[in-house]
This record gives sequence, structure tokens and C-alpha cells, in this order.
Amino acid sequence: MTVEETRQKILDSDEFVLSEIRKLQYLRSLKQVIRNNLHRVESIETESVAEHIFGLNILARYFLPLEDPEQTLDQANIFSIITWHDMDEIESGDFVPWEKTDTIKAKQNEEFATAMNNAPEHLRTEITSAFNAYEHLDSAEARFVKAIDKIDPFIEEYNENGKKLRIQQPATPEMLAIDKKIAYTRNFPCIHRFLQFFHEAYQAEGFYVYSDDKLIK
Amino acid sequence: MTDNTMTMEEVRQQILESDEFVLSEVEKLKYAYGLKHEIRYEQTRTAEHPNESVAEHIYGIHVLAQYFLPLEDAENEMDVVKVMQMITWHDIDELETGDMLGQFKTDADRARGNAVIPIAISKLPGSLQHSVETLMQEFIEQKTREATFVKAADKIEAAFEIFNESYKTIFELNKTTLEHHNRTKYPYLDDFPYMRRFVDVITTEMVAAEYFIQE
Repeated sequence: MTVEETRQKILDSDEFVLSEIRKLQYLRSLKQVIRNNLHRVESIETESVAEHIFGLNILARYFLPLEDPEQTLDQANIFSIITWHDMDEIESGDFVPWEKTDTIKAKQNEEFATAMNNAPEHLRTEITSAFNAYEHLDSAEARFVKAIDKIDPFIEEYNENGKKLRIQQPATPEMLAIDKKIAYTRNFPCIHRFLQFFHEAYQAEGFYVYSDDKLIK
Repeated sequence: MTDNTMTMEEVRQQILESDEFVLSEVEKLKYAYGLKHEIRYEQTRTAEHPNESVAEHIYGIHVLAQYFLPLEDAENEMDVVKVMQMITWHDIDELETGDMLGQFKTDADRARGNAVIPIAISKLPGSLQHSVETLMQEFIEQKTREATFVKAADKIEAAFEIFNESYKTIFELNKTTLEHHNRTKYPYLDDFPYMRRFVDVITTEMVAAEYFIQE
């Protein structure tokens, strides 16, 4: 299948999108392969920010040929933004979308400054450039990374483990900031198509709740 | 936010001359490793022993690659995009085989790992298969500078991860000796003096702190 044929199938076929999702999830199962002769036993499989960054590297490799067949985007810059875009979370920890209040967002620059004081000196310019590009979305590369960052949680969650998480942590489409995700992915037709697929599947299969007392199974 | 005050040449010199500088750089790189312990979706992760997934290891190699590329490739001759792609894919055989500790790995294990790569690739999205196959072939052959750099970064990543008091119990569990440690790292570092220097300093510290099991 050519890149153009793949793009067309993504846009035309739910079945094809689903099969691609499962293949991407297969790649991500390196999150469950544990090193050093050890095991990780969890009732709900967790994901670290480092594992999320690994997941974004996979999504970047998958979507770049589809969204940028002319190879106009600076791929080295994309990989740099992916690696560094969550550096503030070393200080703040991770927040789910509905927790990201204006207060928390306001502290982000302060936390990033602390992170930079702890980073190797010769990397600070690159990390700062990557982080700021991602925060301000002032480049096509940053907007691409933002788009894949927005669908990554769906790829992570769209399975039995994710359903257990959603039961433990019920969320509405508004809490998951679907409107914002739609805005960030709109200019990337294939990424946007995946988001649409997930939104519809979440509605149909009970991943969303629609009110505090009505869990759709 | 401070701008760089040292030139790259000064950084290189400090690395080669000062154990203290290397150790402070190790701590800064391990700080970036903190994202391995920030858990998403309001979940917590508790474990009897510290543990790391292959995905987290790959993140660690990305961090180290960004750090060491300007040091080891002063002339910017390496294809950075290829390096980053190779890092992401280099352990795809472990999707089928699981991870095996380097000190236990035999040539037969390595051959088995290589043999299952086509199986793993066949399960990838079709649009990725050819590029991943090409990159994996280059990585296995270990003839290009990019491949040997990724291999070296792969081997030293563990040194940063395990250079941590909480890993001492793992050394006991796995009966890891200094010989195991040296054998799984140094053969890959001949052409990378800065990575080698970091392993030298970390190893000296670990010996002094009695990480290794006596042979």
C-alpha cells in the first residue's frame, strides 16, 4: 500500500483505522516489558510520562509520512520537542485535563525554570527552545507534536485496561477537553480522523460518562 | 533561565579531566530520568523493587543521545533523524521475546532475538514496515556510525538507571558482578570517548559503594 492509499483508507474506513490502532498498541506494549529480570504487577496498568514520550515517538513515525508526504517538517526538531515538551512535569507531576486550572498553568513557567537549573548546561538552549515552541505552538513542528500528544491518551486507553481506568475515573467529553483536541488536530487530516474515530467509539462503547449518576455501560 | 556559559570544547575538556564534573552531569541527566517516575492519569505505581520498562529505557536513550551527540559528533556528521528513529525501534524484538538481562544473554539468545524481528515487523502498521526493517538491518550490522552510536548509548543507559542506592537489592537478586557490568558496556565504547568516560566514573563510584557482588 502506498502512502496515498494508506491515507485514503484511514479517511474512508473505520475498520482500517481500528486495525492500525491495534498495531500501534502492539508497538506500545514495550511499556509492559520490564527490564532487569523484574516484573511489574498492577491491577490497572499505569503509564509514566517517559512511557508517554516513547508513545509519541511511535505516533510521530507513523503519522509523519501521512501528514507530511513532501517532508517539509524538520524531523530532528520534532523529536527534540517530543523528548523535552513535558520537562516541567519533573517538578509539577502530571495533571489530567480537568485538573489543569489557570493556577496550575501559571506555575508551569516557574517549574520549567527549576527544571532548567537542574539540566545539563549544554542542553538548556535546546530544551528551552523545544519547550517554548510547544507552549506557544509557533511552528508547524510544534503543532504536529501537539496533535499527536492529544490523541496519544486515546491510543493508550482504548482497550480493556483503559475501560477499567475510565470506570475508576469517570470522565465526560468536556472533562477530556474534546473540543480543544479537535482544534489541535483539525489541520492534520489523518490524526483528526483517528480522533473522530475515538470520540465515536468512546460514546458507543461506554468510555465516557455523561453525568455523575449515569454511567453508560 | 541561564544561557550556556561553557563552550562545547570546554564541556568536552571538563568531562575528560574532572570526575567531579562528570558526576554532576550524571546527576543532571538522572534528573531528566525523573519522568520515568511521574505517573499519568492520577495513578500511582508502587513496587517492591525499582523497575523500568523497555519503553522507559528507550526514553532514557533519547535523553542520552541528545546529550552525547554534540560531544561525540563535533562535526555534525551523523544523521540525527536516523539516530532518533533507530533508538525508537532498536528493541522491537523484545515485543516477542521479552527483555533479557545482558549478563545472561548468550549468542543463541541474540540469534533468537534477531530471528523474531520479522515477526514483530509483520505486526506493525504496513506503512512502517519497510523503514523499520531497513533501520533494524543497519542496527544489527553495526557498520555505520549511527548504529554504533545507538548501540553504545543503549549499553550505557543502564549505568545511569542503576546508579542508584535503591538498585542495590537488584544487584543482589541478579548476582551482578563487576565483570558482568564491564562486559556488557566497554566493548561498545571504543569509538565514543565521552560515553566511555562517564561509564569509567560511574563504575568507580559503584565499586566504592559496593554495588557489585563479589565473584
